[in-house]
Amino acid sequence: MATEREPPVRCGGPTTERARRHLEFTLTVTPDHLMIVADTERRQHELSATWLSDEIGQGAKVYVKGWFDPAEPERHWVAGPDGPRGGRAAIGLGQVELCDFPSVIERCGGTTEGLYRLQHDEVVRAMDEGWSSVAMLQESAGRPMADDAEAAEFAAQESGYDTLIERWPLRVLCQLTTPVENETAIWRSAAVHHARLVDGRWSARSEAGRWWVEGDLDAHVVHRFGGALVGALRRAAEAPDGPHLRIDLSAVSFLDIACARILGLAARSAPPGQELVVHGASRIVHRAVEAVGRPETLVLVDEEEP
Amino acid sequence: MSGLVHLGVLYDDVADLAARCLPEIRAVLDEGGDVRVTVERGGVRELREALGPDADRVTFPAPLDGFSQATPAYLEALRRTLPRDRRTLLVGQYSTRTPASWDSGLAEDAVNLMLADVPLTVLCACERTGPAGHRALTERSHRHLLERGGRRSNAAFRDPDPVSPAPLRPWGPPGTTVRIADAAGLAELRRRVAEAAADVGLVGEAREAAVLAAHEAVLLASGPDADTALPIAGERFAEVRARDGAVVVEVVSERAASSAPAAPGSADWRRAVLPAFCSRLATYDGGDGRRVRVLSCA
Repeated sequence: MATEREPPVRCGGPTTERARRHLEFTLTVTPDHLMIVADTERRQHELSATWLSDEIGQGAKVYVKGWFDPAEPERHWVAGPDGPRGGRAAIGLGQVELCDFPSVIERCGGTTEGLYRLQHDEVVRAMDEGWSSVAMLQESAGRPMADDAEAAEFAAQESGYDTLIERWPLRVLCQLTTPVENETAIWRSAAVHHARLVDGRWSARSEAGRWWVEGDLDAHVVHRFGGALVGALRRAAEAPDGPHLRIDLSAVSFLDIACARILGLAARSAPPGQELVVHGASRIVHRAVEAVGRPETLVLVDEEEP
Repeated sequence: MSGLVHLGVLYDDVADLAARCLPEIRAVLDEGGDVRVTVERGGVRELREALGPDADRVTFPAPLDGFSQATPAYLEALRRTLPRDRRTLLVGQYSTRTPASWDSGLAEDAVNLMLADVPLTVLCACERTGPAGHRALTERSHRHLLERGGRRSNAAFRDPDPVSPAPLRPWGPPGTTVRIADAAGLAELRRRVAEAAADVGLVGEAREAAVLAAHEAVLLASGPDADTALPIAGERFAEVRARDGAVVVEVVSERAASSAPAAPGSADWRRAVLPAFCSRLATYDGGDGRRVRVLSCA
């Protein structure tokens, strides 16, 4: 086994303080498997570069998988001005490895099991080389997500990351860049990644038996919020402390009527015996939820209550 | 205490006028409210007789007193001076002697749009045999008419015309104008409305409701596309006016070329829910787009 290496020296880079502040919420809760949603590629690169800069700075081996010309890795955004601090140097040193999606599919035989083996081997190789930890970044794939079978494969592949995270010092960033994905893929990705999600002005995480939501929830993100909410409900139904989903809205600064409506619709569509229990909602959120018609399965808990 | 009650009174003669108005006047007097009756001499005489000793509790200003100010200034002063802890009842009368400078249409629109939250009852009396324009304005401007048997809804009522200067003229130029092209523009509008609301004394939940109402007004103005696709195509901007404990936001949305006609039920739910968060909501659909005004008060 190789020994741990000294982390590379940080270089100057384009990562903005604004992007760093945006990610702070999630980074402080150990985002081992995080999804970043962005409405433009540029914004996605800005946020992902923050994450990558930290990983490179911490001495992690970084695997990046995405769509690019493998003959010209130097033109990948990670190596360019939108990339992380020291990105180009890290590629040259072998700390960052780029792999294009067609090559990934070829190497794993196009199966979920094969993909898991590939990722497992990458982690083992990185640890053998002496890197202190491993980071994997997966770009927005643009999958058609045409049917339930493909969606199940996708969920299984994402679950493979979680299995590896349990065993190794691995952190994963999945990009969801909305212009390159269809509505179904966006919804399903949000559902699968509900436990660690940063999306523009709102974010979510699962922790201590609750699903914590923060920021502004409005019509612009209602589709993604709905997907994540359903994902959290499904996970809660299977959890040892389930089946109810406890959602904490104490850090929500704004919630519009469309999102209030989604809360009601999700609670209505929950399986029998499952409730959506809302903690920490402000008075105006109470009013919004009541105004759109609160089903019995949507329970609003006053903050004073235990 | 509930807000505005604005009633049209189509009457045959002064006896009929007094008979229709008397129950409303007595109800306000019984509650300890203020009553001000501004009608011509015959109507005053009839109402004094009908009220008996209670007539001393009613103010009867001279008909022309109210016209000494320009219409916007009068309405703005009215909003500022009306008591909020008790109901005020005003009886006014359409008259051929009203000065030409007085803008009755603006006055009716402004009452509907600007005074929705004030504990105020306004009875607008119009003689059935009077000028056709008076009667048409009475029927258009009042959601309810006052009959001898009480109030009845008025099918002829219409929201103020989209080119009506109310409440824009009485409230002066906008404090801020926000162009909204995307989610960031919406967030900027929310921030500006929150600031404007705080500046005029709206705090806590009232301020949050004003912010929510402004946000939803943008989506309502954007039509059915707002339910399925954001950012929405087309230009829109919002003007924010705030004074005297209230915020008025007017959203103007030019119809996008790709905008489809509203499907049945589409966006109706938003329009149905929005009044829970504002004192007054008015929408106008024209060939060039949609306008939405929301008034938010404490």
